[in-house]
Amino acid sequence: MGRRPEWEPDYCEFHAARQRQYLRLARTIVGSWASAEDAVQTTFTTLYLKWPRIGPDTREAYARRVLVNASLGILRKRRREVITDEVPDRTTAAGSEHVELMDAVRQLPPRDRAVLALRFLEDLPVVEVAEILQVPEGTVKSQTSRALARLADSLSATESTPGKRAQ
Amino acid sequence: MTDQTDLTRRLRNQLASDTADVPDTLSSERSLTLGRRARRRRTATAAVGALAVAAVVGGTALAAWPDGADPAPRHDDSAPVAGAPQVAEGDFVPGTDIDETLAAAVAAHIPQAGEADDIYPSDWNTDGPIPDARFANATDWQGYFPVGDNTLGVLMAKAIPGEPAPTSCDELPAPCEATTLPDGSTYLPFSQHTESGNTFFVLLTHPDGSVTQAFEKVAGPAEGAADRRVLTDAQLRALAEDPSLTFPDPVDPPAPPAR
Repeated sequence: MGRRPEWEPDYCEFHAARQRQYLRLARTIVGSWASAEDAVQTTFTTLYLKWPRIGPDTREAYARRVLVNASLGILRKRRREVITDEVPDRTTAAGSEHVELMDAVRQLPPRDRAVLALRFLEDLPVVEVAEILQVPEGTVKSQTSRALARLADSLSATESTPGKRAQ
Repeated sequence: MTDQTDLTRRLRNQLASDTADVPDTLSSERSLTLGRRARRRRTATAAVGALAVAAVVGGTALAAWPDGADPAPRHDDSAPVAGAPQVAEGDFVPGTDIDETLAAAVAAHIPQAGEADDIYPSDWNTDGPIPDARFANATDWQGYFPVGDNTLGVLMAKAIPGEPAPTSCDELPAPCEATTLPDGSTYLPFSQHTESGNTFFVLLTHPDGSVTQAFEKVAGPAEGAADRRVLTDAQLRALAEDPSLTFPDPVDPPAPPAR
Protein backbone atom coordinates (compact mmCIF):
# COMPACT_ATOMS: atom_id res chain seq x y z
CA MET A 1 0.00 0.00 0.00
CA GLY A 2 1.12 3.57 -0.37
CA ARG A 3 -0.07 7.12 0.03
CA ARG A 4 -1.87 8.08 -3.08
CA PRO A 5 -3.41 11.51 -3.40
CA GLU A 6 -6.75 11.66 -5.15
CA TRP A 7 -5.37 13.69 -8.03
CA GLU A 8 -3.06 10.91 -9.22
CA PRO A 9 -5.56 9.53 -11.75
CA ASP A 10 -5.75 13.00 -13.33
CA TYR A 11 -1.99 13.10 -13.42
CA CYS A 12 -1.81 9.66 -15.02
CA GLU A 13 -4.39 10.66 -17.61
CA PHE A 14 -2.38 13.76 -18.48
CA HIS A 15 0.79 11.66 -18.59
CA ALA A 16 -0.74 9.17 -21.00
CA ALA A 17 -2.19 11.87 -23.20
CA ARG A 18 0.94 13.99 -23.45
CA GLN A 19 4.00 11.75 -23.19
CA ARG A 20 4.36 11.05 -26.92
CA GLN A 21 3.80 14.68 -27.79
CA TYR A 22 6.33 15.83 -25.22
CA LEU A 23 8.89 13.27 -26.35
CA ARG A 24 8.62 14.60 -29.89
CA LEU A 25 9.01 18.17 -28.73
CA ALA A 26 12.01 17.33 -26.56
CA ARG A 27 13.54 15.18 -29.31
CA THR A 28 13.44 18.13 -31.68
CA ILE A 29 15.22 20.33 -29.17
CA VAL A 30 17.80 17.94 -27.76
CA GLY A 31 18.39 15.82 -30.87
CA SER A 32 18.18 12.31 -29.43
CA TRP A 33 15.48 10.11 -28.01
CA ALA A 34 17.57 9.18 -24.97
CA SER A 35 18.01 12.79 -23.91
CA ALA A 36 14.40 13.52 -24.82
CA GLU A 37 13.32 10.79 -22.43
CA ASP A 38 15.44 12.33 -19.69
CA ALA A 39 13.86 15.72 -20.29
CA VAL A 40 10.34 14.33 -20.35
CA GLN A 41 10.94 12.23 -17.24
CA THR A 42 12.24 15.30 -15.43
CA THR A 43 9.18 17.18 -16.59
CA PHE A 44 6.71 14.61 -15.34
CA THR A 45 8.51 14.31 -11.99
CA THR A 46 8.36 18.08 -11.58
CA LEU A 47 4.71 18.06 -12.60
CA TYR A 48 3.97 15.45 -9.94
CA LEU A 49 5.46 17.64 -7.24
CA LYS A 50 3.53 20.70 -8.39
CA TRP A 51 0.35 19.04 -9.58
CA PRO A 52 -2.00 20.02 -6.72
CA ARG A 53 -1.07 23.66 -7.21
CA ILE A 54 -1.28 23.84 -10.99
CA GLY A 55 -4.69 24.75 -12.31
CA PRO A 56 -6.05 22.80 -15.28
CA ASP A 57 -6.01 25.97 -17.40
CA THR A 58 -2.30 26.57 -16.91
CA ARG A 59 -1.18 22.95 -16.80
CA GLU A 60 -0.32 22.64 -20.47
CA ALA A 61 1.75 25.80 -20.67
CA TYR A 62 3.49 25.00 -17.39
CA ALA A 63 4.37 21.49 -18.54
CA ARG A 64 5.76 22.71 -21.85
CA ARG A 65 7.78 25.40 -20.05
CA VAL A 66 9.29 22.82 -17.73
CA LEU A 67 9.99 20.56 -20.69
CA VAL A 68 11.70 23.26 -22.73
CA ASN A 69 13.78 24.31 -19.73
CA ALA A 70 14.69 20.69 -18.96
CA SER A 71 15.70 20.16 -22.58
CA LEU A 72 17.81 23.31 -22.67
CA GLY A 73 19.36 22.28 -19.36
CA ILE A 74 20.39 18.93 -20.79
CA LEU A 75 21.98 20.67 -23.76
CA ARG A 76 23.87 23.02 -21.49
CA LYS A 77 25.32 20.03 -19.66
CA ARG A 78 26.65 18.51 -22.83
CA ARG A 79 27.39 21.71 -24.65
CA ARG A 80 30.62 20.39 -26.06
CA GLU A 81 29.13 17.19 -27.34
CA VAL A 82 28.01 16.87 -30.91
CA ILE A 83 24.52 15.59 -31.49
CA THR A 84 25.19 12.66 -33.76
CA ASP A 85 22.53 10.04 -33.20
CA GLU A 86 19.30 9.49 -35.03
CA VAL A 87 20.63 10.36 -38.47
CA PRO A 88 17.91 9.06 -40.79
CA ASP A 89 18.98 6.30 -43.10
CA ARG A 90 17.37 7.57 -46.27
CA THR A 91 18.95 7.70 -49.69
CA THR A 92 16.16 8.84 -51.97
CA ALA A 93 16.03 12.38 -53.24
CA ALA A 94 13.25 13.15 -50.75
CA GLY A 95 15.30 11.49 -48.03
CA SER A 96 18.33 13.59 -48.85
CA GLU A 97 16.23 16.69 -48.59
CA HIS A 98 14.96 15.48 -45.24
CA VAL A 99 18.46 14.91 -43.94
CA GLU A 100 19.62 18.29 -45.13
CA LEU A 101 16.76 20.16 -43.51
CA MET A 102 17.02 18.27 -40.25
CA ASP A 103 20.79 18.66 -40.24
CA ALA A 104 20.25 22.36 -40.63
CA VAL A 105 17.74 22.34 -37.78
CA ARG A 106 20.22 20.51 -35.54
CA GLN A 107 22.84 23.14 -36.25
CA LEU A 108 20.61 25.92 -34.97
CA PRO A 109 21.10 27.29 -31.46
CA PRO A 110 18.98 25.37 -28.92
CA ARG A 111 16.56 28.22 -28.29
CA ASP A 112 15.93 28.55 -32.02
CA ARG A 113 15.14 24.85 -32.16
CA ALA A 114 12.78 25.28 -29.23
CA VAL A 115 10.96 28.12 -30.93
CA LEU A 116 10.68 26.23 -34.21
CA ALA A 117 9.50 23.09 -32.47
CA LEU A 118 6.82 24.96 -30.57
CA ARG A 119 5.70 26.87 -33.65
CA PHE A 120 5.92 24.21 -36.36
CA LEU A 121 5.83 20.84 -34.59
CA GLU A 122 3.37 21.76 -31.84
CA ASP A 123 1.66 24.29 -34.11
CA LEU A 124 1.26 26.75 -31.27
CA PRO A 125 0.36 30.38 -31.89
CA VAL A 126 2.91 33.06 -31.08
CA VAL A 127 1.06 34.12 -27.94
CA GLU A 128 1.28 30.62 -26.44
CA VAL A 129 4.93 30.21 -27.36
CA ALA A 130 5.61 33.56 -25.69
CA GLU A 131 3.87 32.33 -22.55
CA ILE A 132 5.85 29.09 -22.51
CA LEU A 133 9.19 30.78 -23.10
CA GLN A 134 8.21 33.73 -20.93
CA VAL A 135 9.33 36.27 -23.48
CA PRO A 136 7.40 39.00 -25.31
CA GLU A 137 5.46 37.98 -28.42
CA GLY A 138 7.72 40.19 -30.49
CA THR A 139 10.71 38.16 -29.34
CA VAL A 140 9.03 34.95 -30.46
CA LYS A 141 8.33 36.48 -33.86
CA SER A 142 11.86 37.74 -34.30
CA GLN A 143 13.40 34.49 -33.07
CA THR A 144 11.22 32.51 -35.45
CA SER A 145 12.09 34.76 -38.35
CA ARG A 146 15.79 34.61 -37.56
CA ALA A 147 15.75 30.84 -37.19
CA LEU A 148 13.95 30.40 -40.49
CA ALA A 149 16.42 32.73 -42.17
CA ARG A 150 19.31 30.69 -40.79
CA LEU A 151 17.69 27.52 -42.05
CA ALA A 152 17.15 29.01 -45.48
CA ASP A 153 20.75 30.20 -45.63
CA SER A 154 22.00 26.83 -44.54
CA LEU A 155 19.93 25.03 -47.15
CA SER A 156 20.95 27.45 -49.88
CA ALA A 157 24.58 26.87 -49.01
CA THR A 158 24.04 23.12 -49.16
CA GLU A 159 22.21 23.28 -52.47
CA SER A 160 24.94 25.42 -54.01
CA THR A 161 27.65 22.97 -52.97
CA PRO A 162 28.31 20.58 -55.90
CA GLY A 163 27.73 16.93 -55.10
CA LYS A 164 26.18 17.59 -51.72
CA ARG A 165 22.71 16.38 -52.61
CA ALA A 166 23.98 13.27 -54.29
CA GLN A 167 25.59 11.94 -51.10
CA MET B 1 17.03 31.27 -51.63
CA THR B 2 14.25 29.11 -50.28
CA ASP B 3 10.79 30.62 -50.15
CA GLN B 4 9.74 31.01 -46.50
CA THR B 5 6.25 29.58 -46.97
CA ASP B 6 7.70 26.55 -48.67
CA LEU B 7 10.33 26.28 -45.95
CA THR B 8 7.79 26.31 -43.12
CA ARG B 9 5.70 23.70 -44.95
CA ARG B 10 8.72 21.47 -45.36
CA LEU B 11 9.71 22.12 -41.78
CA ARG B 12 6.31 21.08 -40.45
CA ASN B 13 6.39 17.90 -42.51
CA GLN B 14 9.92 16.97 -41.65
CA LEU B 15 9.74 17.77 -37.95
CA ALA B 16 6.69 15.51 -37.86
CA SER B 17 8.32 12.66 -39.77
CA ASP B 18 11.64 13.04 -37.92
CA THR B 19 9.88 12.46 -34.62
CA ALA B 20 7.31 9.94 -35.77
CA ASP B 21 8.93 6.86 -34.28
CA VAL B 22 8.39 7.71 -30.65
CA PRO B 23 9.92 5.11 -28.34
CA ASP B 24 7.49 3.49 -25.97
CA THR B 25 9.75 3.57 -22.94
CA LEU B 26 8.12 6.04 -20.59
CA SER B 27 5.46 4.85 -18.23
CA SER B 28 3.20 6.65 -15.83
CA GLU B 29 4.12 4.06 -13.19
CA ARG B 30 7.75 5.12 -13.42
CA SER B 31 6.79 8.78 -13.21
CA LEU B 32 4.58 8.08 -10.20
CA THR B 33 7.39 6.27 -8.45
CA LEU B 34 9.88 9.06 -9.12
CA GLY B 35 7.35 11.73 -8.25
CA ARG B 36 6.42 10.08 -4.96
CA ARG B 37 10.06 9.59 -4.11
CA ALA B 38 10.79 13.24 -4.85
CA ARG B 39 7.84 14.29 -2.72
CA ARG B 40 9.05 12.18 0.16
CA ARG B 41 12.55 13.60 -0.20
CA ARG B 42 11.15 17.12 -0.12
CA THR B 43 9.06 16.30 2.89
CA ALA B 44 12.02 14.75 4.63
CA THR B 45 13.93 17.98 4.23
CA ALA B 46 11.08 19.87 5.80
CA ALA B 47 10.93 17.28 8.54
CA VAL B 48 14.44 17.84 9.78
CA GLY B 49 13.26 20.26 12.44
CA ALA B 50 10.71 17.81 13.70
CA LEU B 51 13.19 15.01 13.75
CA ALA B 52 15.60 17.10 15.72
CA VAL B 53 13.00 17.63 18.40
CA ALA B 54 12.03 14.00 18.25
CA ALA B 55 15.65 13.31 19.06
CA VAL B 56 15.43 15.62 22.06
CA VAL B 57 12.25 13.94 23.15
CA GLY B 58 13.90 10.60 22.79
CA GLY B 59 16.90 11.72 24.76
CA THR B 60 19.20 11.03 21.86
CA ALA B 61 20.32 14.64 21.79
CA LEU B 62 20.75 17.08 18.98
CA ALA B 63 24.48 16.51 19.06
CA ALA B 64 23.82 13.62 16.72
CA TRP B 65 23.32 16.28 14.04
CA PRO B 66 25.83 18.97 14.88
CA ASP B 67 24.73 22.49 14.09
CA GLY B 68 21.41 21.20 12.89
CA ALA B 69 22.89 19.61 9.78
CA ASP B 70 20.45 17.48 7.84
CA PRO B 71 20.66 13.82 8.68
CA ALA B 72 20.51 11.50 5.72
CA PRO B 73 16.86 10.51 5.33
CA ARG B 74 16.28 6.86 6.05
CA HIS B 75 13.03 6.49 4.21
CA ASP B 76 11.64 3.06 3.94
CA ASP B 77 11.19 3.00 0.21
CA SER B 78 10.40 -0.67 0.37
CA ALA B 79 6.82 0.33 0.90
CA PRO B 80 5.23 -0.61 -2.42
CA VAL B 81 3.34 2.19 -4.01
CA ALA B 82 2.00 0.78 -7.25
CA GLY B 83 -1.49 -0.61 -7.20
CA ALA B 84 -2.48 1.27 -4.11
CA PRO B 85 -6.22 1.40 -3.63
CA GLN B 86 -8.00 4.55 -4.68
CA VAL B 87 -8.45 6.73 -1.63
CA ALA B 88 -10.43 9.79 -0.76
CA GLU B 89 -9.16 13.38 -0.83
CA GLY B 90 -6.67 13.90 1.99
CA ASP B 91 -6.41 10.19 2.67
CA PHE B 92 -2.69 9.63 2.62
CA VAL B 93 -2.80 6.36 4.51
CA PRO B 94 -5.52 3.90 3.55
CA GLY B 95 -7.24 2.02 6.34
CA THR B 96 -7.13 4.69 9.02
CA ASP B 97 -8.62 8.12 9.57
CA ILE B 98 -5.74 9.41 11.68
CA ASP B 99 -4.39 11.30 8.68
CA GLU B 100 -7.78 12.90 7.96
CA THR B 101 -8.17 13.82 11.62
CA LEU B 102 -4.76 15.48 11.65
CA ALA B 103 -5.60 17.39 8.46
CA ALA B 104 -8.95 18.46 9.93
CA ALA B 105 -7.25 19.79 13.06
CA VAL B 106 -4.89 21.83 10.94
CA ALA B 107 -7.78 23.16 8.86
CA ALA B 108 -9.61 24.15 12.03
CA HIS B 109 -6.75 26.13 13.53
CA ILE B 110 -4.59 27.20 10.60
CA PRO B 111 -6.67 28.77 7.85
CA GLN B 112 -3.50 29.74 5.98
CA ALA B 113 -2.49 26.11 5.51
CA GLY B 114 -2.78 24.56 2.08
CA GLU B 115 -3.48 20.95 1.25
CA ALA B 116 -1.13 18.60 3.07
CA ASP B 117 2.09 17.74 1.28
CA ASP B 118 2.20 14.51 3.20
CA ILE B 119 0.86 12.86 6.32
CA TYR B 120 2.37 9.61 7.44
CA PRO B 121 2.98 7.21 10.30
CA SER B 122 6.48 6.75 11.61
CA ASP B 123 8.25 5.25 14.56
CA TRP B 124 11.08 6.20 16.84
CA ASN B 125 13.57 4.19 14.82
CA THR B 126 12.68 5.68 11.45
CA ASP B 127 13.25 9.11 9.96
CA GLY B 128 10.35 9.63 7.61
CA PRO B 129 7.47 7.28 6.90
CA ILE B 130 7.13 3.67 7.79
CA PRO B 131 5.14 1.60 5.28
CA ASP B 132 1.49 2.57 5.41
CA ALA B 133 0.49 -1.03 6.00
CA ARG B 134 2.26 -0.86 9.37
CA PHE B 135 0.42 2.24 10.59
CA ALA B 136 -1.00 0.29 13.54
CA ASN B 137 2.54 0.03 14.90
CA ALA B 138 3.29 3.72 14.54
CA THR B 139 4.78 5.50 17.51
CA ASP B 140 4.40 8.88 15.89
CA TRP B 141 2.46 10.57 13.13
CA GLN B 142 3.67 13.54 11.16
CA GLY B 143 2.00 15.94 8.78
CA TYR B 144 3.40 18.72 6.62
CA PHE B 145 1.48 21.59 5.10
CA PRO B 146 2.42 24.63 3.00
CA VAL B 147 1.79 27.97 4.68
CA GLY B 148 2.78 30.64 2.23
CA ASP B 149 6.48 30.19 1.58
CA ASN B 150 6.88 28.31 4.86
CA THR B 151 6.07 24.82 6.06
CA LEU B 152 3.82 23.86 8.93
CA GLY B 153 4.66 20.59 10.61
CA VAL B 154 2.66 18.62 13.12
CA LEU B 155 4.08 15.73 15.11
CA MET B 156 2.35 13.60 17.70
CA ALA B 157 4.51 11.01 19.37
CA LYS B 158 4.15 8.33 22.01
CA ALA B 159 6.45 8.34 25.00
CA ILE B 160 9.62 6.36 24.46
CA PRO B 161 10.04 3.80 27.25
CA GLY B 162 12.70 4.92 29.70
CA GLU B 163 13.25 8.24 27.97
CA PRO B 164 11.14 10.96 29.51
CA ALA B 165 10.02 13.78 27.29
CA PRO B 166 11.17 17.31 28.16
CA THR B 167 9.15 19.15 30.75
CA SER B 168 11.47 22.09 31.25
CA CYS B 169 13.40 24.49 29.10
CA ASP B 170 16.68 23.16 30.49
CA GLU B 171 16.12 20.02 28.44
CA LEU B 172 15.77 21.92 25.18
CA PRO B 173 18.49 23.22 22.89
CA ALA B 174 17.21 26.79 22.94
CA PRO B 175 15.81 29.25 25.46
CA CYS B 176 12.12 29.06 26.18
CA GLU B 177 9.50 29.85 28.78
CA ALA B 178 7.71 26.78 30.09
CA THR B 179 4.09 26.88 31.18
CA THR B 180 2.22 24.15 33.04
CA LEU B 181 -1.32 23.79 31.77
CA PRO B 182 -4.36 22.84 33.91
CA ASP B 183 -4.34 19.25 32.62
CA GLY B 184 -0.72 18.82 33.74
CA SER B 185 0.78 19.22 30.26
CA THR B 186 3.84 21.39 29.80
CA TYR B 187 3.89 23.99 27.07
CA LEU B 188 7.37 24.75 25.70
CA PRO B 189 7.72 27.25 22.83
CA PHE B 190 11.19 27.72 21.38
CA SER B 191 13.00 28.27 18.12
CA GLN B 192 16.03 26.84 16.38
CA HIS B 193 18.14 28.53 13.74
CA THR B 194 20.48 26.36 11.71
CA GLU B 195 22.00 26.27 8.26
CA SER B 196 18.97 24.35 7.06
CA GLY B 197 16.57 27.04 8.16
CA ASN B 198 14.68 28.42 11.10
CA THR B 199 12.07 26.48 12.96
CA PHE B 200 9.62 27.89 15.48
CA PHE B 201 8.33 25.12 17.71
CA VAL B 202 5.50 24.70 20.12
CA LEU B 203 6.07 21.54 22.14
CA LEU B 204 3.42 20.11 24.38
CA THR B 205 4.50 17.34 26.74
CA HIS B 206 1.51 15.47 28.13
CA PRO B 207 1.38 13.88 31.59
CA ASP B 208 1.71 10.40 30.10
CA GLY B 209 5.00 11.38 28.45
CA SER B 210 3.59 11.64 24.94
CA VAL B 211 4.20 14.84 23.02
CA THR B 212 2.43 16.92 20.47
CA GLN B 213 4.27 19.59 18.61
CA ALA B 214 3.50 22.06 15.91
CA PHE B 215 6.18 24.01 14.17
CA GLU B 216 6.68 26.50 11.39
CA LYS B 217 9.81 26.18 9.28
CA VAL B 218 11.06 29.38 7.69
CA ALA B 219 13.77 29.23 5.03
CA GLY B 220 16.63 31.67 4.69
CA PRO B 221 18.87 33.44 7.16
CA ALA B 222 18.12 33.64 10.86
CA GLU B 223 18.05 37.39 10.66
CA GLY B 224 14.50 38.46 10.05
CA ALA B 225 13.17 34.90 10.17
CA ALA B 226 10.61 35.81 12.82
CA ASP B 227 9.33 38.54 10.53
CA ARG B 228 8.92 36.04 7.73
CA ARG B 229 6.64 33.84 9.78
CA VAL B 230 3.11 33.31 8.55
CA LEU B 231 1.81 31.81 11.79
CA THR B 232 1.82 32.84 15.41
CA ASP B 233 2.80 30.79 18.43
CA ALA B 234 -0.82 31.14 19.58
CA GLN B 235 -2.00 29.38 16.43
CA LEU B 236 0.59 26.64 16.82
CA ARG B 237 -0.36 26.20 20.45
CA ALA B 238 -4.07 25.99 19.68
CA LEU B 239 -3.28 23.33 17.10
CA ALA B 240 -1.01 21.37 19.43
CA GLU B 241 -3.68 21.45 22.14
CA ASP B 242 -6.40 20.16 19.84
CA PRO B 243 -7.77 17.09 21.65
CA SER B 244 -8.28 15.23 18.39
CA LEU B 245 -4.53 14.90 17.91
CA THR B 246 -4.19 11.46 19.40
CA PHE B 247 -3.71 7.98 18.02
CA PRO B 248 -3.83 4.46 19.44
CA ASP B 249 -0.88 2.87 21.16
CA PRO B 250 1.14 0.68 18.79
CA VAL B 251 -0.19 -2.85 18.51
CA ASP B 252 3.29 -4.29 18.23
CA PRO B 253 5.66 -1.59 19.49
CA PRO B 254 9.12 -1.44 17.97
CA ALA B 255 12.13 -1.74 20.22
CA PRO B 256 13.08 1.59 21.77
CA PRO B 257 15.83 3.40 19.89
CA ALA B 258 19.37 2.40 20.79
CA ARG B 259 21.09 4.88 23.07
